[in-house]
Amino acid sequence: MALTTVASAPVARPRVLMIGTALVTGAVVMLFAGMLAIYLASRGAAVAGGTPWLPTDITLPLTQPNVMFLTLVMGSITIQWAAYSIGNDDRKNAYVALGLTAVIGVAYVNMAAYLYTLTGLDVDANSMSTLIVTISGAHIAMVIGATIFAVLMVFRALGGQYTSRQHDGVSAAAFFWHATTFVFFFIWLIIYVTK
Amino acid sequence: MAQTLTKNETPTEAPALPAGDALVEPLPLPSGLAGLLGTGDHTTIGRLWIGFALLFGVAAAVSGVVADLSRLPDLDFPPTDTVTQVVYFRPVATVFLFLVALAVGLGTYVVPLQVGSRTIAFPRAAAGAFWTWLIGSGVLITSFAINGGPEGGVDGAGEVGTSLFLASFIVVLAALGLAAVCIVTTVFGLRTPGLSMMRVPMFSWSMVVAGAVWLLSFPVLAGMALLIFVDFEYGARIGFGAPTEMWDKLGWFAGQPQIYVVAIPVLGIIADVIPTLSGTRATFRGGTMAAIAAFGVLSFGAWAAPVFNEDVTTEAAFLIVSVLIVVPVLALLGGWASVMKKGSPSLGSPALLGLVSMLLLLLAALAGAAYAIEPLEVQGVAGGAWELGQILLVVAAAAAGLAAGVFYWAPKMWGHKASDSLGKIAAAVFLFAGLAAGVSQLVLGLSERIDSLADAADVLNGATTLGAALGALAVVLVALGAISSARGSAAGADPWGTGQTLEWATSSPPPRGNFAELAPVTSAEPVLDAAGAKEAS
Repeated sequence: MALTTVASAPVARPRVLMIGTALVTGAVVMLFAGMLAIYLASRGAAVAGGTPWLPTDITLPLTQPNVMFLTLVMGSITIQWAAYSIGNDDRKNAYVALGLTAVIGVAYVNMAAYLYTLTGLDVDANSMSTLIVTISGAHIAMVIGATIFAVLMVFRALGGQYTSRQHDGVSAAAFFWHATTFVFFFIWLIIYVTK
Repeated sequence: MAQTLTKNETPTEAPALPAGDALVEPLPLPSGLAGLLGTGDHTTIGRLWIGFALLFGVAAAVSGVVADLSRLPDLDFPPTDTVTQVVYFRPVATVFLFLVALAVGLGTYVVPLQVGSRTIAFPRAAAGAFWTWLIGSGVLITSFAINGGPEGGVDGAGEVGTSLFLASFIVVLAALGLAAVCIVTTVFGLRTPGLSMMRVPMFSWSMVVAGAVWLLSFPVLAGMALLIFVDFEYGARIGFGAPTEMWDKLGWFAGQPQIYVVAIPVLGIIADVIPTLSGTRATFRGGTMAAIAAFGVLSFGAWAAPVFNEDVTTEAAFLIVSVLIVVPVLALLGGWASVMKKGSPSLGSPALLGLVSMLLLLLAALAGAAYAIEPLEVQGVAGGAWELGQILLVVAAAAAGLAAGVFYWAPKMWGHKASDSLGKIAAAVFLFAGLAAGVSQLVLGLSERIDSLADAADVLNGATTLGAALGALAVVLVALGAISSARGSAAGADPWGTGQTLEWATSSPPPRGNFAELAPVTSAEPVLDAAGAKEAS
């Protein structure tokens, strides 16, 4: 099961995909940092002004966000599993792990959609609704992006790319997924836990 | 079964084939429009960026003239129902359709050459960024034309225009960010062997700094625009989407300190131009790089957005940042003075434009520092005259500096040196434009302290209008300069004769793939090293 025709010396290979993904991730994290900062500033101003932040007819349940957060953490584990497997030339495990990650991404979107029906948020109502819908909607878009990234890596791996010497693509997808989890941690904490 | 294939991400990122060992004949490139639309060649994309940025630059400058006319009394022009459009179009177009786009264009063309790469990183993404930006810019201009933009008309057309503005604004920001990702990744990942980060040419370094600051601040702006869009399009328009409050949430990109981000690449351009045209190696490279980085860090302005803190201009942090940013500007000026003293400077048009740029930037930085010092009482006087003057100075400085880049690299991009006299005239026009537009507003900003100045408001506003008109003329001159470099005597690989960095090691314009073969780099000035070795042998 050894590699047969790999050159003996490691090739000096630019890690452009990893660098590019890191830069894009930084920008996306700043997008959420900005919106969450506005959320905190608006909530702080509302509370200081004596008006309740959450209207009485709006409920923000915690169970679904908890599950969503755990789902993303599981995705972080599976995609890291994929990166680890491809780093050891264990392609079968990598396929399974990447496929699982994609399923987890879909599961997250499903739960996020269900959460919308529970909260009854109305964008028309107030700034709070606008903020929550925009931030959570943008995060769903980010998860969909991370899922597409993972699926793309499945196809690339199936096409014969990526080995222990060259697995930037999978590592980059893993990095972006971790950032997705990282961002949701703050959304979970700021919007759903501390309300 | 073991797999043995090791493919790279995209074919263009494959390592260079040894010269004379072409295993596969490259496919012929499509020509004409198909070639243009489908190209991933950074030299073509870079020139497209530069061309359209200059075109939009003229539009932005003309809108500036019209906006300034609105402050003159007894002149029923522009009509009151179009004033808001013009006043808001000016900063949006100046920053995102002109200055940042022009810097991105120069970066797309020059940075891969400077770091000795055969391509830009993610060539298809770089092409996609340009076309996305172009379409987004077209929609953005249309949105203002149909009575849109922030505070757009409340009739049907105005509403559509406002939604279109918000959507296209986000698209333009995303496209500029993507282009920045490609340029920064090129510097980090595709440098030729031996070219360490400490040896990277100054313009490439400044694009790394600028790209990083853009990528950290533009998303915050895009996030605000997204919130406004959601509330305006789907919500009640009482919170974020309230038309009269939109600009309060978005306008910080054209205020202190964020406006300085347009000037970061300019520092790198001048830091490359001065040693080359002085015929000597740069001194204090580490210090220059640190000063550019410090300027970049201090120009990050998302934290000063009024949505987070309405009274930010009275805070200590604002004061510290505003005063500190003078330091890197002074340090760079000192360093360049020592370089010019050491060498034998020739004041060609790029150097002249660069000096004008730095003079205006120093003035702007000093004005910015004064703005933050509250006892001077210049904040919010006469409708924000001091603020406007400071912004106009930064814009003029950035435009002149980027023009220096256009004239400096024109022979590389279009094959012939640009008309030197056009460049020198442009430098003079930029200087007068910046001083007339900027300083007269600064003077008006003193009217709280000096009562008689209030009577001179009309004259001072008139001077600003004249300055804006001169600014438009200067941008036209730069465009003419670029056109002039498409003809004339053919430029060799190194038309300045004293080129130092790798873009001067290949023909003008460079062939497909940029370089045949590059020797490992052993210093920050590989072209000078090669010339020295030739002389020694």
